[in-house]
Amino acid sequence: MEDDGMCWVTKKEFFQYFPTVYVGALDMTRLKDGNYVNDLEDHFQRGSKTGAASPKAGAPSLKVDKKGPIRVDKSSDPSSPYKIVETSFNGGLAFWKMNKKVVKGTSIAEGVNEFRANPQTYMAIHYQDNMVTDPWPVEKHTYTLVYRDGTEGLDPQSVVAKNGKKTLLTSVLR
Amino acid sequence: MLTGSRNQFVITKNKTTQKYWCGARYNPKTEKWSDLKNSPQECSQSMWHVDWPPVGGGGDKELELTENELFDRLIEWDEHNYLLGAAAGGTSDKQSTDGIVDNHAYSIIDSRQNICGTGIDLLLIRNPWGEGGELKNGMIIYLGCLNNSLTHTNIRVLV
Repeated sequence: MEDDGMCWVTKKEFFQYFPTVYVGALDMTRLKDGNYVNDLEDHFQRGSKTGAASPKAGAPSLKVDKKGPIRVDKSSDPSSPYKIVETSFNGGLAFWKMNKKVVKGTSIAEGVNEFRANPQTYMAIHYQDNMVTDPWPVEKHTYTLVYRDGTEGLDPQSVVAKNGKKTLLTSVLR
Repeated sequence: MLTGSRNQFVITKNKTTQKYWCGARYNPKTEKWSDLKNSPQECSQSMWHVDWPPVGGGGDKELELTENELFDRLIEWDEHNYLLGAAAGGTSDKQSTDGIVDNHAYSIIDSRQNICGTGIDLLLIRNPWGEGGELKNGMIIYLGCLNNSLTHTNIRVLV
């Protein structure tokens, strides 16, 4: 059998052997878009020659919207047998199995509405907080919907983080 | 690492704090990029502190992350189909440690959390020296990006 060079390593082993990580912050699925143009823009802050940092005009593709935070309705429907529980966490989730859908380019507020309206379909939704608090342009929004079917052992309490950077909403029976 | 994107970050362990800081080969004061060559030995090794990528939580250039915090971001970046790699420690790629080639860059291809409820988190890494043909394995990686519903295991059956 050929050695294809691939192997699984645990988190502990990874950090033991690899002190440096490289990140190319580009969604590679963009490359399959026939209209993709290599724009060579970047997110880096520009520092003026006098030392004060200032963004290069038009460069940051994640520049924030000036309109203030996007309102996300996380309320539970009092007539529903399900209620919504909010958890702050940092991205890692504990579960046995997860059937999920990652949605990009759609407002997180819409995603949460879909989640609230379909508690029998979706067990949870999670997203990065500053996408709605800064807020980011909607076309940059990403959220993950977790289906009830095919998901087992999701344990939000084990990942709770005070002042975490992400929000996890779970829909639980009252 | 990836032609077509300048949003490239090098995250390095601070030996003093044992945490990770975010750097790039872009000097924000001179607004110039380090020279890029085909071989890392010929490149400038200069690196500047920069803000963390916004996806995954962001953070200013002073922020340092623990291993667990960085791993959470790796998961997030993988979900966003970012291109990820890692460099092994050591001084020479003619040596290896426990099967990992020293001073050598690997691809990070996949990430999994809490395998079968054991609490164990895994990363699938690949040594680019792996045999079996770059094209075939390149297709594996590319297909993995095209369709998140496919796992590498079943993609490899297909090719």
